[in-house]
Amino acid sequence: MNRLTGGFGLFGARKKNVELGVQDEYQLLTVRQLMIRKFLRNRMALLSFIALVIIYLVTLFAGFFAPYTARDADSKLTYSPPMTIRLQDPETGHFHPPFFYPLRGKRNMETFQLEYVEEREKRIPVQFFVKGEPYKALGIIAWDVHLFGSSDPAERLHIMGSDVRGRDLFSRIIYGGQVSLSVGIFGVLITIAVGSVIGTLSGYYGGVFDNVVQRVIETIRSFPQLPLWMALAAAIPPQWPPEWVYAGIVVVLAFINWTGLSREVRGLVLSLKERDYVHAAEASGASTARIVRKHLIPNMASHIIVTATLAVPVTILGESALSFLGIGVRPPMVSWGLLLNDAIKIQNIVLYPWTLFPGAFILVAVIAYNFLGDGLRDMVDPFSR
Amino acid sequence: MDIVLEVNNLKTYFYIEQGVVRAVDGVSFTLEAGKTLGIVGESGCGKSVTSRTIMRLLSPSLARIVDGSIKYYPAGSPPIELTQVDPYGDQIRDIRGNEIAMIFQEPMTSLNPVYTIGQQIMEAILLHQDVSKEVARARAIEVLRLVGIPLPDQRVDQYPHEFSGGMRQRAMIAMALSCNPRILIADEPTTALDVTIEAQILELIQQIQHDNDMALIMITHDLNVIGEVADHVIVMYLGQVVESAPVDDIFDEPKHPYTQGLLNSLPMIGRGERLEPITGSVPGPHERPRGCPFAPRCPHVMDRCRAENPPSFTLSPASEVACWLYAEEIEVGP
Amino acid sequence: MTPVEAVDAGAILEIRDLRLHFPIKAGLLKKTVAYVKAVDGVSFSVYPGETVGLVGESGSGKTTIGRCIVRLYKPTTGYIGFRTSEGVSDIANLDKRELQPIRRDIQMLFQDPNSSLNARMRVGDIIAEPLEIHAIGTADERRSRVEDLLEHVGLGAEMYNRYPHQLSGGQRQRVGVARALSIEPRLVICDEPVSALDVSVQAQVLNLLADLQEELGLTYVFIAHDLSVVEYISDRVMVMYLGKLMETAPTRKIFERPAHPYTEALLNSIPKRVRGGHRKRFVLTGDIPSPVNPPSGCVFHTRCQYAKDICKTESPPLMPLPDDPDTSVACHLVDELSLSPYYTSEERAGMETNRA
Repeated sequence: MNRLTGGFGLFGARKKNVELGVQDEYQLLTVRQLMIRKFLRNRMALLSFIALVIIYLVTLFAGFFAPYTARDADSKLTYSPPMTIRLQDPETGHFHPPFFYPLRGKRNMETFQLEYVEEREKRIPVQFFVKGEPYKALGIIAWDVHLFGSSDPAERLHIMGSDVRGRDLFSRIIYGGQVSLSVGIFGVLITIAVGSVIGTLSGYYGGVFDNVVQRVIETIRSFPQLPLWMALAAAIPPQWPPEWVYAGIVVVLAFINWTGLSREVRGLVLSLKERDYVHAAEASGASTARIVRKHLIPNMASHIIVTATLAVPVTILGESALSFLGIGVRPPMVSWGLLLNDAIKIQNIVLYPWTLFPGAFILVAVIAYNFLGDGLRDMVDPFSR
Repeated sequence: MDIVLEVNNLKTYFYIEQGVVRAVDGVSFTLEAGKTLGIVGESGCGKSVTSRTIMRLLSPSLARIVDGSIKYYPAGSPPIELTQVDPYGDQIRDIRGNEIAMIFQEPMTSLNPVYTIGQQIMEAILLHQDVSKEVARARAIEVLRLVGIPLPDQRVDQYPHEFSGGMRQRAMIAMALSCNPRILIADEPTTALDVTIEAQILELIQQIQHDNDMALIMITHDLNVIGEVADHVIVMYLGQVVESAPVDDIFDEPKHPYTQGLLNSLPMIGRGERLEPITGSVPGPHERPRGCPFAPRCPHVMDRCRAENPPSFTLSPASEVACWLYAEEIEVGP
Repeated sequence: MTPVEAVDAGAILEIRDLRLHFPIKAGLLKKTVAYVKAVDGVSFSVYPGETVGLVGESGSGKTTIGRCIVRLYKPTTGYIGFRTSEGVSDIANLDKRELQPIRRDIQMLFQDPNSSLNARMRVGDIIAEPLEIHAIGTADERRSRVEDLLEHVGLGAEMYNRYPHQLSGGQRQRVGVARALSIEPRLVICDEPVSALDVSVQAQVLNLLADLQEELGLTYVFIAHDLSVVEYISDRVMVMYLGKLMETAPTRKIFERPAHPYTEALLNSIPKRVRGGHRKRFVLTGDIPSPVNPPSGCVFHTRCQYAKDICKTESPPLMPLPDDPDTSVACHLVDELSLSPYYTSEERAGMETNRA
């Protein structure tokens, strides 16, 4: 049998592949492209992401989206129920541009409750881009145009009802979102900063430092979370101005969260530092700072982002819980938890069920963050199916 | 000639999000009692999928047998078409482990860490044979002794983590042998082991095969192992059998350019000359070439190879090669 | 520790009595309860331009020695003399700053190309990293050097912007080679560089390493468990068992005239085709003992078929053979035994004529 002698030299190999274009026919995707594909495939995460973007935009431009300011009260309309925006006259059946009927309060002499009825004679149009209460957009630009509102300043529109002093609940929810949602973000930023620095150091260097840090973390985590938060929050001096209290609450919430992240980061560092590419860098004489910057952080970033995303709802819930119990942010600041405080009595829930609306917002934000975190977690590992 | 297994034009495709992966794309062979078939190929050639298809271990939602047949010939009863049996049914369960047994590459992941070695071997025996627990335990100790585990009556009550790597592989073999299977499929049984342990395991498998007249399918990427244990070899590349021949022919007169390339790439002690590697690398499932799968890397490639996948040409009763170089020499086989 | 002077004037690397004992810690206070004697008194020299194969089974300490040479590990005791143009420095006892200039001369090639390349970095940046660390050249100069290297290892400059996951296993290992060579080292520690690769690709990488050695005058310490790969690439072979050297000899002698019973056992374990039937061979029994509690005397005596009483009590030193100073063996019975080779010199001559 004729024996076929085969094979090209090494450098022939390359030329041959290039000539045939074997490598180049195949669609090559960067890690980022793969990740984005993966994320877009998770519908709930995408939906949640869009929802969160909308919620954050609305709270960021609260003055514009809220028909009233958070403190704007109307003593004639205390605990007014949500008013319906209508397009159709219920009696004639005719269609009109959006309008609402104002409410008129009447004391029920048997129960001594204020009861509201629609004043059907008066049809008040809802106006878009209406001039109303002046506010400062983004805290600097003075403006007085609101997205929508009552065309008659004397007849107020409360689409989600009002509170004990007749303040518009919808507006207060939007302003409250500024606090509740930003507490989540700032709390998590502190968590990331503290947690990843301590986690990296304790994973990379180990030894006594690691030992001490781990014992501290175990101690912090062995306390039940809520009571610990409460104890710390209660230590915030009552005479502090509201802004300081806000900052204090952020720190208190981050105080527990960093421990979880730090543990996760430590674990990642422990496994990453045994990878051969880290060894290769070490053997080439790379400094610790370089290894952390070039090899550890880029490979941990995605995990940190996922953990952080899932820590945001925990922080939001924490703030809500503290404010609900009256030891969180203080009036005149508003937050969702603080607004829920109106529903603290069972009697209020029965009589004024709309005071639960802030709870719905908390629910939506928390669920959205959890879905988003799930989606990001899938995305972090773009090579899995 | 006592045929125990006959695989004909087997095709197993994986249907995944990115498309269809033709993991096994036309594999045929026959296996005789007491003989060893070696399946050799590089990563992604479909050798492991072939064995798992025979055992019907692949999830039907992911992998589908799209064509071909796998005929198993039980002793004294009509042949069973394994492609037709329900992969979760009683029939395959009776065959699996009992008549066709398999050992895997990684013995740690194949053994359940929460049960003792003895319990796991007994489970296999009790599943297939109508015997009491005491008999099963005695049999477990016996197979452990058979595979060379010292103090088997004590070792039988130990957990997998108390065994070393080589011992675990022995335990796996013991489990596979507990029901006296007629066919043993060994999927890279020594890849994770050190050379001295590899030698022990290969020796053991061959001795047991000889004693029990068992048919063996040895799946490996290591041509040296194939050279030592196999009687007949099939060489796989991208899901296809490119060459099928007796072991001496494979080593002395390789026909397919891929087989030649593999042998020229293989450092062999005492050969003392420069290796001649195959150019390029194994293409991924998405870059699968048209025509002959080996065409882009083949030093003898012709226009025809790029257009048309060659059929198997029968060169002698025992050897076949799928390569157009042999089209003129020999008439197209069946 | 008393400073040790270099004695082997010709060697680029001289290791003397190297030991690395990893502590095993347990309990709340992390008390050291025992030591893993990964490397336990190893001495050898490596000469410029040669390839020294370091073979042994898992747990033999071969990888640990490699990592000590590049100082990923600090040895417990011992001397690692590395010769530079300025003289010999003892790598084992330098601090981080003193090591920095020497790291340019010693690089490491890793086993698993999947874990040795950072998935978040581009191929070009991976290869340029050692250059960046040592601040060699401007960014443009580094780029053109990396492109040259890519061509050189058979990848092509167009790979510069790819990510590792877009490459095949063999291509990734070529990137690893390019990274190791980017700062022009003189000594490369190859830690099982081909064992994770397919046969056809393995041969490509082996040839690449051989070509680069010839072209650049590199010295390799080649760590592997596969004896046929070691036979192909090495000039000399060192056989390790449980942290100790059993035998060192020129490659051909190892296979033609093994002098240590463990070497004989290793050779016997290599799967080998015997035409028309199965070969009968003797197989080493038992497992490798734990390096935490190595056997007394000769560490191999528990598995050695020739072991005598002296082997159980006294550890044999590594001594050159009286009639062959190139071969050193650590065995009490070296004069008494006649061990079976992998092939005889006649067989070898036969193999060569067959091929020709």
